[in-house]
Amino acid sequence: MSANDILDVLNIQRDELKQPPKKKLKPTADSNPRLGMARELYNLIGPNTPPVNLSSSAYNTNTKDRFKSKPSPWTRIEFKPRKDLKVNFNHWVKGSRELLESEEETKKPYFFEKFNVKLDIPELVDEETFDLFMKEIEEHEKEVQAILAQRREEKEQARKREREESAKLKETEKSSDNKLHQVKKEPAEVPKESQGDDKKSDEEDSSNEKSETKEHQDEKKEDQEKESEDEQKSELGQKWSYDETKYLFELCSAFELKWPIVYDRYNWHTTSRTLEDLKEQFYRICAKIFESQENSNPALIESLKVFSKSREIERKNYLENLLKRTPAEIAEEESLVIEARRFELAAKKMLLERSHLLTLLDSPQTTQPIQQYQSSQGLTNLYNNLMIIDKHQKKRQLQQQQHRSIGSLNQDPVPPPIPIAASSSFKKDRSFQTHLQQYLSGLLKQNQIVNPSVKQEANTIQQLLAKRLTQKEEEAYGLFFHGTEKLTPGVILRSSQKLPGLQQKQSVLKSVNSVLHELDIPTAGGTSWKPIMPTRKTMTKYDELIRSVVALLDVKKGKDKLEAEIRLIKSQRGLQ
Amino acid sequence: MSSNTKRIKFVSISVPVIYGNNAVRLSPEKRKPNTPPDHTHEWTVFFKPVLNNIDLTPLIKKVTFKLHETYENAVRSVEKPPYQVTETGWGEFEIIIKIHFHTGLELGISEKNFQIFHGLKLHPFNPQQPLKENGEVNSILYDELVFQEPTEKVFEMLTRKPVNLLPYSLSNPNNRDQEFIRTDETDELARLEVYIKKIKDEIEHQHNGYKDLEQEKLALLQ
Amino acid sequence: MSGSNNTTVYGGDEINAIVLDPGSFHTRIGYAGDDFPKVVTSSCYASPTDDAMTDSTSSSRIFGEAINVPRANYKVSPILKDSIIEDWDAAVDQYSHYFKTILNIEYPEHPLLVTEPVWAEHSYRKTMVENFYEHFDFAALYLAKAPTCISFQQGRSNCLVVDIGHDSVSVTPVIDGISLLKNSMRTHYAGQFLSDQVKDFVDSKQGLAVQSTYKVRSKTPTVYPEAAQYQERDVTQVTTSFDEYQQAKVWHEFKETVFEIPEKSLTSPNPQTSNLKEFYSLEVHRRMFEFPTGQSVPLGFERFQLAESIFDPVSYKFHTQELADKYPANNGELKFSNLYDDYKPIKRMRKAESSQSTPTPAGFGASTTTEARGLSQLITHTLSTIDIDLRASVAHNIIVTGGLSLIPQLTERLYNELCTANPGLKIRLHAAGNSSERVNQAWIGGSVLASLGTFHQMWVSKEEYEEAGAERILNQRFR
Repeated sequence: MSANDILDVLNIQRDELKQPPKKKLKPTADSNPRLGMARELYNLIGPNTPPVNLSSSAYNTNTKDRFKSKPSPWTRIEFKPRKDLKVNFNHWVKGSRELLESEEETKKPYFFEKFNVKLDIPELVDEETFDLFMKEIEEHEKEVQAILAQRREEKEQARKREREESAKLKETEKSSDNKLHQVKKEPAEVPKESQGDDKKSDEEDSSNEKSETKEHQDEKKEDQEKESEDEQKSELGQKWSYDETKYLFELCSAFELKWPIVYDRYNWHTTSRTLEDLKEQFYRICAKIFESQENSNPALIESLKVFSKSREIERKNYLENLLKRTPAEIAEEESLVIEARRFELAAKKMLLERSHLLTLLDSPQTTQPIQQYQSSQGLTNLYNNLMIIDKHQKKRQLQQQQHRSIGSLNQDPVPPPIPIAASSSFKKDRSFQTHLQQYLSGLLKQNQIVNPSVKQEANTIQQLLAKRLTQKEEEAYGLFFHGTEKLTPGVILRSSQKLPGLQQKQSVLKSVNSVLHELDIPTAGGTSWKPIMPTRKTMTKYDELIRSVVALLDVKKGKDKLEAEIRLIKSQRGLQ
Repeated sequence: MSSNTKRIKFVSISVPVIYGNNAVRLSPEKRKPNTPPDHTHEWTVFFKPVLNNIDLTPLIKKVTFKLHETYENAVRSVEKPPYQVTETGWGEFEIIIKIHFHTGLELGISEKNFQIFHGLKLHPFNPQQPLKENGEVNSILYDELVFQEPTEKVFEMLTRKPVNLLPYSLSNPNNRDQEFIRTDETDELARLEVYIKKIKDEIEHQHNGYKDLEQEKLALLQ
Repeated sequence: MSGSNNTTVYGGDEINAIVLDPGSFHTRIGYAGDDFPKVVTSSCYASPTDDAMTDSTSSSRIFGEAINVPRANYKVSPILKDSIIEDWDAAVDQYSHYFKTILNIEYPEHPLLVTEPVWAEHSYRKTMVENFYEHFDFAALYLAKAPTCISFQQGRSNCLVVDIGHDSVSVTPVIDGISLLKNSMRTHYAGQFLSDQVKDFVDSKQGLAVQSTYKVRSKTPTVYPEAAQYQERDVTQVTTSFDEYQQAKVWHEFKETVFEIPEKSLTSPNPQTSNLKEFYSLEVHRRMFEFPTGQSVPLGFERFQLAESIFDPVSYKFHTQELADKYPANNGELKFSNLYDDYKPIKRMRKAESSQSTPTPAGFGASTTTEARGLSQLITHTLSTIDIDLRASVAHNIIVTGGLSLIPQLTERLYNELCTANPGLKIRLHAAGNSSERVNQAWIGGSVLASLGTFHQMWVSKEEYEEAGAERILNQRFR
């Protein structure tokens, strides 16, 4: 608000003399006569408008424009939601009446009419063709039943035969050969019969049965028996009449093939059909209709034929049972699945290891045919061959070593270490090497690589290796291969060897001492524990003993602690 | 030269040895003229490998037996097998048996020739024990020399013949307390096994007790 | 054309249809496209007793709130029973009253959508079609099943509609918007049943003076078991039916204010039940209900006990034999007559017949499992009859509707019971939060349906009816 406004409000007259002459700026204020709020706003801001150009929001302009412009006209117009509907409905549509009632507009279909979809269901053929179809279906089913009846007979015969056989077997002693021969006979006989059947039926999927074993055939027979029984029942009970099928087709098109609804509204006076019945009939007839048509989609026909009523019923039963599982059963199933997975993994591992082993053992070349080795004679031949090869190898090695001692070429005389399992009689067979020898031979190789001039030491080791000691003999030599244990170089006395088990605190050692005393174990006096006869074995045993004593002490300690705690709790509770 | 410095790692060779002393009461015949009258026993302290045919000379330079200072020449040094000292005396004292190895062998203990302390035994452990006629008393102990990470030379020396063998039977039934045989080892092992089993049973027992107590504690806490 | 703004969003196209939803307790009438019906009146009428016999002219019938004025010799009669119109004259009268007088509609301008229950018999539907076409001049008509409307209102195409109303509790699966008739179930353990229980309970309490509001002139508050202190109004010879009608309002208020569903079943043979009884007898659960006479009754455990009947219909034992006989054990199975003729399908209906023809009094040794089904058993049984492929999606969309479902804790209790009974299915209950929405849900659904652009192809015009006849219309169009 300007000064003048304030004065006006306060009703004060200006004293015009006292005012300095105002500089009269050319008033540009009157350029935009702002109305209402805008005027106040701009008066607030002052004559200097901000440099920012405030853009008015769309809302503003919209309402402004709306006030100015005329609203669009809406017309209440008649329409027909469907072409064949006799009644006219009225609804409001945007647009002026003239516009909407022009020729083009009235011809346009109702906007929502495009949602009146209808499924593309084949129309049911006339009655004659239908009867023909049904006949075909019936014949087909009769064939199936005939085959099944035959199979049932065969099965019974087979059963009879089995019974006879088992009776025979119990009497005679020559069991295995007879059985073999007879079992071979059975599957030979049955396929012959089924071959005969196959010629009769067209669409049987029994072509597999020629190569099936007897048992599998039995199972299949049972399944098909059940099927045939069901179908027999269905055949006997409710035949599909033309009218009924027509009714079915009507419902299907009305409800767009939504089977639960079709089933719900299905009320045919003479029969009661299950959902699967309806589906079966519909798919069967449709398949026939398509077949009789000229340009048909073979894939579609195939898929229609695939439908099996019994399987549908089974599937639904399975699902029901699935739903009915109690939480306990669900948990059980889950645990079973986990276990099964574990088994699979274990089996995989085992297979892997087996293959490793096999590759390890796989020294003989299989370039030659192996059939010669498949008989027991062949196996012994193979064994002998391998032994001979081995002996040759040894001979060669010894010769090589002798050559070397004379000073021949440094060849690697040491055969690769063969795992214990692969060697036949490892006690006598000197090609077996202990760990020590393996290590030494490895060392030899290294030496030769590193320092070829070293012959002297090579000699000793080679001599040693040449002796090809057994484990026991090694012991006799006092040799011991410590594996990866750290050894301090030097000489020690076994008895003074510090047992790793004795690395304990003094207090612990004292209690160990007392325990050993209690148990009457000789401790060879004082703090130096050692067995009476300190050999390597006894030392290790002694070490074990000490360790177990320490463990015992720990357990005892823990137990005492627990006891104390319990006593404490009891006393607390008791006092409570 | 390199053979001397090269050590074979992860390998050890052990040689069983036997040491100790036997003592007999001095009978008047045995007394020599210069034996002091208060010497009651004659004793021999020795150190030898169990198998008599093993020769440790290439390894051992000398063996010193340090006797009680009252003996003149308390330190008796023996350079050739048999490594033993025979003396007379009346008292039991500690003898230090020191084994000196050849330096060139680089056995790593050129300074540390190790010592075995052996208490000389003249009188029997058990007074009730029937004495032998001559009052002979033996205190013989078994031990093993373990060469860890031997050099090639040592290795060679020791592998010429199997050294870790122990006899299976006594050479002389009378010398039961003088000799160690293989069966002793197995007996010892068996005995130790028994002890270990005993202890393991005890552990089991304690463990069960522990579990029970745990249950008790849980029950109380709930 | 109609592709502007709102229509493309929800596919609607207003044609000013009228939606009529007759129910056992209330009748709802309104315009399609509205949120709520314009008219919600009670489905009863008052008429003078004298000329009730022969031709009760429409002028003497009274509808709506006017019924509640005490008039001499005016009886109050219901129009519908079990959501089926019994008294056609009165019904037509009522509807024309509302259409013409209240809403003032011009019949030929509007199509009419009428909801019908699932268990409507063929003959009833025929009568409906005939009556509506003959008596009213609507442009077109459509009969919609009530659960279908509800599924449209909720916007779920596969659902299970649980309608807990006045006369009946019904469970109907709806697949793709079409109600499945064969799998529906219905019992009469609903609002009316509970009202009768309340009446029985109140009668059994001695010293409780029960008088309807209209009879009380003035009162002073007292607490039971003190005697009531009130002055009666001198009311001119009202009929018993009027009195009962007014009393029913008291029961209605009782139900609305005081009932609560207990968390767990009160009748299960569980050691916990005694605890429950104590639990519900605590102070926190005590409410006072004031009768029109001024007498207040403290109610604790009884609140839960009475409400429990929804879930366990035989838990409350009637004191009067008459009432017990009124409600025979009903296991909910429906009996359907065929579209074509009266053939009864072989399966499943035997039990229903036997239990309905020889009524065993509830509470006299009737087992609760197969003879009288409570709410959760009803729903579970329905679920188990639905095709296995659809079961999961239906169980995931269970809509709870109806006035009685507004009792507190009902949905929680129902959810718990359903989950324990069907461990394999994922159950999800939907219940409209707004209480008036829940009561009028079927009507709102009808309103939604009648304003959809794609629905307008379904209307059956009067000319079609005249050409084809009621029978064909029912079979072809109102499937």
